[in-house]
Parts: sequence; C-alpha cells; structure tokens
Amino acid sequence: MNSARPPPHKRQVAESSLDFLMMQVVTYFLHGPGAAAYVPPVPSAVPDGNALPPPPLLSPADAAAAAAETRRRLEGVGYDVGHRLVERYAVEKERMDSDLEAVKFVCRDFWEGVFKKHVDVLRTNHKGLYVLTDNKFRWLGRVWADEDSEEGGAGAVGADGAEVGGAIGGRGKPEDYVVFPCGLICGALTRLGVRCRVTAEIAGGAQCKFSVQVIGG
Amino acid sequence: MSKASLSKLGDAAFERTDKVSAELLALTYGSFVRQLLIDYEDAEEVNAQLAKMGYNIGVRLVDDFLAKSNAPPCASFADTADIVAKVAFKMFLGVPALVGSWSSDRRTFSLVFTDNPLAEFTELPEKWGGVWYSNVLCGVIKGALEMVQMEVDARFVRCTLRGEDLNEIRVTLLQVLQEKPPVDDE
Repeated sequence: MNSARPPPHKRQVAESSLDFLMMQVVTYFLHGPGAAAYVPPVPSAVPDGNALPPPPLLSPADAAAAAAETRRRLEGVGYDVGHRLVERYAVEKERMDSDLEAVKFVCRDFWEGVFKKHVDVLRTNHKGLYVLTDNKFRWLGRVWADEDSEEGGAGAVGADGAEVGGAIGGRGKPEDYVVFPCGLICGALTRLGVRCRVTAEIAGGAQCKFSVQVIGG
Repeated sequence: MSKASLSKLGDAAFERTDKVSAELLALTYGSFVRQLLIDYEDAEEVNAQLAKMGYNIGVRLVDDFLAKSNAPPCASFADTADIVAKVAFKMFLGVPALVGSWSSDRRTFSLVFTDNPLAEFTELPEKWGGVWYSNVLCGVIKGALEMVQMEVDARFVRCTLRGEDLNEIRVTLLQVLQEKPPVDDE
C-alpha cells in the first residue's frame, strides 16, 4: 500500500494535526502539569486532617520567576526542534559566512518550510539586532481563526505594545503561541552559527515581530 | 460504503487539507515526549499523560473530521473501524491504517500500520522500554469516538520502536453512549 510513498523529506501530514498537538504542548507547559512543577510546592502537613491547605501564595517576584521558567521550558522544546529541523533544510547549503546570510536563510527557506511563507520585512540596525516581521504569522492566524483579526497590510506598523485579546476557550493567550517559535528560530540560528536571543511581539491581528539579538557578535 | 471508496475518500480529504512537513510534526512530538520523560521519569505516567493529551485532541479533532472528511455515517462498529483506518488516519497523518484481527464478538479490532509519522526519527532507549511512544493516538481515538457516542478502550499492543515490524492498536467498544438530547435553541 506504500508503493507511492514519498521520500522522508517530502512527506506531509495535515496542518491541523500540528495545530492540535501544539495546543496541547502549550497547555502542558504553560497551564498544565508541566507548569505546576515549577510553582513552589504547597506545605503538605495539614494539622487538623480535613482542611485543605490554602493555595500557594506567590510573591509577585516568585510568580514572575515561575512564569519565566515555564516559558523557558516551552522555548527549550522549540529550540530543540529548530536546531534539528534546520539541519534538514540546510543540508545541501554551504556554511553561512555571515550572520546576515544565516538570518536571510531563516527568513526564506526555514520560514517557508515551517510557516509556509517568507518573512515580510527584515530590518537590522547593523549592530547585531535583526527584526523579522511576519504580517500574517501562520500560527497566530490559525489559532485565532475564528476571532476577528485586523489584517495589517504589508508594511503597516501596528501600535507597539498594543493589547491583544485575552484568554479564549482554553487555548491560552496569543502570546502563548509565540514562545515555541522564539525557541524554534533561536535553535535554527544557533545551529547555523549565530548565537542569539529571540523575543516576540504581537503587533495586532496576526502580525508578529521577532527580534533577534546576536550575542557576542 | 466499500473499503475502496473509503480509501478514495481518505485520499481526497488529505488532498484538500492544508499540510505541513511530517518532519515538523515528528520533531515537535519527539521533543515533547523527551521532556515528558524528564518530567515524569516513569513510563506508565508518560503513557497516561500522552493518552490524556490525545483525548483532549480527539474531542476537538472530531469536529474537524466531521466537517471536512465527507465520511458517511457509521451504521455499525465495523464501519467505524474502517472510517478511522481509511479516512481519519489518512486525513490527519497522511497514511492509512489496516483493520484486522476482529474478536469473535465483533467488539474488538486492531488498527495496524507500518509507517508512523510520529516516530519517523525516533529511537527509544532501552531504559524506556515501557513507554508506548505514540500513545497519544490511543487518546485521540478514544476522545474522538466518545464524541460520536462510542466509549472505547484503545491501547497499543505492538510498536515498531520496540523492535516489532508493525504498529498495532487494539480498540474495544465498551458501550454505546446515549445520545445527548438536542439543545433547545430557543
């Protein structure tokens, strides 16, 4: 039955399968058991035997640290995937000889392979900061497909730090869905020889800006 | 509906759907399972967690399936088996499964498949011999069928990552659930 099966790098699955998996992965790390593991444990001794212990009260600093740790773990999974995936796309490319070459490769070939389009705008300050703008970031667009999205036209600049809709229907927040991609991009670039930190900013609708700060460059 | 036409239905549904590279799915799943192994350090707990996540996927995925597959309604559990194997597996994973090994009471069958897109690049260290790597699939089947009023048990009995030459999931119908009364839309 598999006589016509394509070679490994050409095989495909339904995009919805990845969406469903990603939703569960995000939930596990940020809102589920994978997040709980990083919240300080509740004292287990309950003297009178029937009162439940109060939920742990975290100081704002502890809560922020726990949240950062859960995001770091999810980013780590993305990093791992990006690192391994880029090897497959870059397998026939010669070694990139500059940071810009590597970033361009990620904006085109890697983006195409993962997000099925190219990055719309690439800007750099020539001091190790690259800003990759995707006007219709696929993973936001699909997760929020049933929500009204304002589509920014090419080149449109969204208001910086614009508030994006809150949690809906157990999917978490849109911000949750850019954590994994930050790791993915960082893992890919690191594998191509560019050590960096990657952060994301959702600029309204499905527009997303990824900032790549090269470390020690 | 004949098995051949179900296969065509599955091919057509897969053809229509948006697709991504199987590598991306396999690597994402693999990295995630690796993290679960670190977090739980116990094969049984990892199996349970994967099944639970699969269940959550299944209860959502069934809507997608019913809306896009054009699959005919199931008149029997045997129909259900064929639709899962020929249409659903193909539509979501790009590869069909085979149905076989029916029990004499016709309440248990096996889904058999050799190519497993989830396990494409995976080797399971011996230490994790108790892990059913693709156990998420059992959860998906259970969750999805529950939404169409069939409570089932689904479990892996063979897996290529354990050195066997194919993957086999045993699916048993436990009970047909009562259809929920329709929601009054007034």
